[in-house]
Amino acid sequence: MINQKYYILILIVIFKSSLSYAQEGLSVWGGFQTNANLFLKDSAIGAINIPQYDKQIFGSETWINLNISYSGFLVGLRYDLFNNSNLLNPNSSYTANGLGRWFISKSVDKLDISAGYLYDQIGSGIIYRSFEERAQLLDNALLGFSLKYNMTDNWNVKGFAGKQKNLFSSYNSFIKGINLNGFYKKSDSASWSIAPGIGFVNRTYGDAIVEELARTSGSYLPIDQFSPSYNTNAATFYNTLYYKNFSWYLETSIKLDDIYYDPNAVRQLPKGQTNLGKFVKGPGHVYYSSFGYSGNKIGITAEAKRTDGFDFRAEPGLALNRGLVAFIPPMARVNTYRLTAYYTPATQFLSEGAFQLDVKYNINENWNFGINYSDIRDKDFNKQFYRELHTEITYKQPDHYQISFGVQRQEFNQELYFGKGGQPVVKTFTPFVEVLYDFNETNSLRVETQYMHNKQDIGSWIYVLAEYGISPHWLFELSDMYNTVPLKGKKSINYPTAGLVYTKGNSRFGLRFVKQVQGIVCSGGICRLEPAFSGFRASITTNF
Amino acid sequence: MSIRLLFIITFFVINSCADWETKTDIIESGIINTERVILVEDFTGASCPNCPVGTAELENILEKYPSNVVVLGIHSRFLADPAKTGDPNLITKDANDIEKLLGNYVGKPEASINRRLYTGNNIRISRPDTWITYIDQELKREAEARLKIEKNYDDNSRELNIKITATSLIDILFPIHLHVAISESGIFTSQSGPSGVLDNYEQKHVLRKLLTPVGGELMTDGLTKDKSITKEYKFILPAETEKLWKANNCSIVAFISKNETEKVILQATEEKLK
Repeated sequence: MINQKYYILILIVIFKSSLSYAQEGLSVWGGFQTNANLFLKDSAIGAINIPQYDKQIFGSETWINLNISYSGFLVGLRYDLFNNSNLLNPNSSYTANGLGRWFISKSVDKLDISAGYLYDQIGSGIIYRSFEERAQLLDNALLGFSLKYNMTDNWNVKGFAGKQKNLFSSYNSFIKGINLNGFYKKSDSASWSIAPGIGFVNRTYGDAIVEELARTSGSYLPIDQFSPSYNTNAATFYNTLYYKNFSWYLETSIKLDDIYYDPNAVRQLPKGQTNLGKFVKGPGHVYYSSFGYSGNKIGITAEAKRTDGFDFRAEPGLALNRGLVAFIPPMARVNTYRLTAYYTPATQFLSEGAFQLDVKYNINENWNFGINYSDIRDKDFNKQFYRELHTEITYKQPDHYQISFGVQRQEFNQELYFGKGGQPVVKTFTPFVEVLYDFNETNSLRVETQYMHNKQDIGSWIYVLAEYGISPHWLFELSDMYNTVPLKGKKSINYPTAGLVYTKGNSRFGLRFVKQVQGIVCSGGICRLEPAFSGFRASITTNF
Repeated sequence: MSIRLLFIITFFVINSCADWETKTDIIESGIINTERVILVEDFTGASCPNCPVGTAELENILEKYPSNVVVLGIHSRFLADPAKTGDPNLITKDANDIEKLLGNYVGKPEASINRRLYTGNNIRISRPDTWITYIDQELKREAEARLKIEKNYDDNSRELNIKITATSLIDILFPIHLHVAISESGIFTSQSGPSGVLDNYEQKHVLRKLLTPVGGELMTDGLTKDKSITKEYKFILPAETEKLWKANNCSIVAFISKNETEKVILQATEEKLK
């Protein structure tokens, strides 16, 4: 691997040269984000027994990025610093620092050339998506190059190749792809248009990976053995049809003979016993469609998806959210309230059939109504995994107050999503209210409360939050979460949070005291603890 | 028409890609004859639904390599509380200390194979079906030492006297640390499983007590080939309860390692207490 200092030197030379020769046309911008945690042990809520509580006490994550554009060149640098961070793995501590990203791009006539750590996607991302999600310390940028040729204003073809980033190194596989994107409208007055696309991705494992697979296959009984291979190919076809106020997106993706780990596959053992979990080799597919209508008073979105055997990763032994090459769109509402968001169904890569309907209706300028229904099952649409009905009514009195209220009903298969074998389906009933009151042009108060009625898993909870804002600088927050009906011999405990945020220009400074409830997430045959948190959290974000 | 043609051509192109590659042979897992004995620490727990998968895997491995693999069940805090009220709690401070010593982990079941760093930054390895491949790799390494346990157990006083002898098979030019533990099998409890709680599940190889510090006890600063060194330990078995500390089910496990920084285990051995 080439020394990172070498890259920095090149970029500094470019930057300095730009400054020396001309100030005109030069743009420099960037950002800074830091999160700092002070861990205060609290055995009552289970905030113990990780190195941060035991001995390290302090942990932080920091990202600093700088972008420079000059004379058609765009150059970017990002420096990442992690100190006793629990973002990567909530059970342990991660300390590292280095160049998290660099890139350089330049357009030459119709050709866009990029190199470095690149983010991109094909279609909706089903066969390829590289992106960054800092809250999960997820950064699967492709370290390589990309070429995009703009044949016309509406049609382009791009190709890329490289290795997927793994923190400060990269995974042992090579990914390359090609993507054709287009847009066609017969005339400016035509009522319909289409935006078709086609994409192809190949992933080639390194020698060590294939050798490991060959050993693993050799350790299986013949009936379970698979033929190890270096290459996997995936292709996707997609199109959006626009007609008046309607849009219809359809994507079909296939993946040929990939080797992936199926935690529910039955494997034979020598004396006739069986065990769960093995690598399997086989094809996969995803069918995804989204239909939208946007009218004067009404907006409708309907989505449907079927997934079968589509765990597409940079290395076969990876689990949870590590090394994902594919991004399969989730099919449940993104909830934002604390208790309505507690049970969130993780996307199932191996078997999922789902649909979602979302309707928003503006009754008049004061009243809005929204309803969302999602239903997630196995690929054959037999076994129920998740179901949610969410209704919300909003009343607005502009410049005075706004009230939102509604109710959420969830059915959540904790056997699948939490790995809690034999446990009943969680059935919650969660009414919620949010009031935003403007005292005057600068002072406002927002209060939200939810009550989650739940006879399974963690029992019933209430959550209350009050935020007082003094525009444009200050925001004060006070909240508490309390289990009104605890289960399984647990005590009722308060989980209070208090915090303040100061905003000045493009900078935001936050400080919070947090007590956060513990949870368990099981996926791919692995159960991971999302530990309780107790302590202070400080954050600074700024853009320049 | 042209779009359909493009679709068909693309399908055939990517479908034919699979044939471009020369077939890679499977590496069969055969029996390996060696003096080496591997320690597998199985990070497990009674309320861990996926853990019986790991345990079954290890029983399969023990059948294949009965003389070359020693298993120690580490019931450390995560998902190790009793699956049902009234069951004995198998979590011990020593198990928690081993968990801390070995550092990063993702979840359970996971196993450390001779405490060697095989994947990424984690000594503990998930995916039980792959454990045997690491054991095979470990068994192919040259044996560095031989370990022998001599013991004397008195039923009346429950006093156990242990003598461990390490004999070097090569010139060992670094300090050696000795670890001695008591494990117990035949503990019947409830166990969370993939499809519910399993009753009357036999917990095997459960770490009950470490007789040495978690990082091991310094045995020697080095050992030339064919030389031996001996350490002795005395331990009184706690009083037998309904389910725990049954002398007939207990074993002595000994292993030698480098040190707390380089945790790699050189050799392990196991002897039934009675």
